[in-house]
Amino acid sequence: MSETSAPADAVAEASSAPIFAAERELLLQLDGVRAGGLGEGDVRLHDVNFRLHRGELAMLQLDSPASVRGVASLLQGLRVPEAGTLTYLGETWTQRRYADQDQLRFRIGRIFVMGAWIESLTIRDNLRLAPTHHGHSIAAVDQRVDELIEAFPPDMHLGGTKPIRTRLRDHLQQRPSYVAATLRQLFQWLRAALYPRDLWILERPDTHLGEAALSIVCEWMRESLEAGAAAIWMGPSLPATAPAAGQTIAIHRGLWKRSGSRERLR
Amino acid sequence: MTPRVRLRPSPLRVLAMPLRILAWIAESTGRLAIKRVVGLAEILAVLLATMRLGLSPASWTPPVRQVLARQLLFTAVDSVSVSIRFGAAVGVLVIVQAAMWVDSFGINTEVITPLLWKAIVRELAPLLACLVVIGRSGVAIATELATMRTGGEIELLDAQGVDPMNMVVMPRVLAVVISTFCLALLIATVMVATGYAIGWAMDAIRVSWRTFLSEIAGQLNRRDLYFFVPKTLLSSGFAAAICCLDGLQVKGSTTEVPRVSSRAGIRALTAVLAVSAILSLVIYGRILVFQIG
Repeated sequence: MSETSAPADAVAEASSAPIFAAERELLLQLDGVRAGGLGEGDVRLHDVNFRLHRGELAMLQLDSPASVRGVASLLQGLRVPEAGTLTYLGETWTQRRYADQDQLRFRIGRIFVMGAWIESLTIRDNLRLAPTHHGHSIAAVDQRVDELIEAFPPDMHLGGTKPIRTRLRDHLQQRPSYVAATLRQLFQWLRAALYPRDLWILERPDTHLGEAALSIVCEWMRESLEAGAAAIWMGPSLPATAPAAGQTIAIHRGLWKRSGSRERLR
Repeated sequence: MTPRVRLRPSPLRVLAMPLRILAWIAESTGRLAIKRVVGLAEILAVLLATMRLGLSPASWTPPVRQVLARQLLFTAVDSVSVSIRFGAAVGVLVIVQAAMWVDSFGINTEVITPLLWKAIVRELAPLLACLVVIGRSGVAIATELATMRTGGEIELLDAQGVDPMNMVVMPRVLAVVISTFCLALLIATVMVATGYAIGWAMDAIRVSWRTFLSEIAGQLNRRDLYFFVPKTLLSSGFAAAICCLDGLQVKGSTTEVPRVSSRAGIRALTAVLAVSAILSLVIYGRILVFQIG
């Protein structure tokens, strides 16, 4: 994604410092947003004020096994807040035409905590679905998938006798329910990294993944952040290999509530 | 022990009771009417959106074309054998009835041919095609969409910038409409052929196949097309829209899916019969559509 190469010490420094630039474009803004959860156990929002700029990683720190699906859908404009305004790239979702909403959503890479696949399609067809719908060729998608799989070292194993590269390639032809949870999670990361993104919404993205695999997929996210994307990581903790969070919001007992930031924003 | 005191209801209360019952009836009727109107509006909205999306070249992306092709394969191609069996069986039933009329009332072959033709083309073939499609595909579509909905797959499409209306609903509705039209033509042909074969074997039809066909061709008029085409297209469109809507409106978990599927099948069947009856009223200006002789 990012074409430039940086010296090793600069990269190391970047991994520990927040990728945050105040002058960068405001991507997402929540003002006094209130929203109920999708169901019992889903995170609720109470008068939330929040801003996310390009290049920034925000961490929603969960202290319970609460579901964040509703929050993620709200941020993507798939749900309307009960109160307050949610603007994405300067406009609320409802102000845009449906076709424009779809184009913007295509540029959001999302990792789902559940229900992440069309079960009647193979993993490869799942990966091709959205890009080909938005005008990209199958060949280009397949090539990009190959490039991303090549990012894993040839001798890297994640369980099983075969290297992870071979296992990923073998399972492209399988339907999701026949694929191990670890591989499915890696395929989700791969799908999120297929195309340049404006925003990454990551629902418990480290589930089933070890440090070695996380370091590779977090590198994809880091490159995307450096290229101008923003990311929201929703989970109990941020792995050491991930870029440092520009802001961390603690979600206590499934409630994301106002933390006095409204005054600060004014 | 305290004595029981029976209070007499006040006259105002007695008068208010029938009014309350009337109000309850009016409220229930009004609520039901609103529900029906909203339901009809939703079906029409799905049909209009399908037409609009179907006419827009931008909607026909490779995945959408793939969904349409798969649905056509399942709804039309895979239903050919069952449609032939249905058509043949009903063709036999019709000709047996016609033969009974010949025996009972002394009606000749010239009467049977138009009867066969009108009954088959105007009523039976479209209805049978709709039954086949609802039974094989309508319920399957409702089940598939309800499962997708409860499994979060519809939201997944939306989250990836893929409009479910474009990707899921439009190709399915179109595939059902096209398939029903083709199957209705096939069923009509099979019924006519079976009717002739059985009628000839039973000595109810004594003319050659060529004469029989030319007599049928002579019966074909514009009115038949006015009835056959809109009835087939509208009925199947309503059935498909209902199955899609019911599937997508499922709430709760996967345990709701079978209930929604069976409900969608019944609703689709009811809609097909209702649309047929309304079209009969509109086109012929009467409820009894058969004009014998």
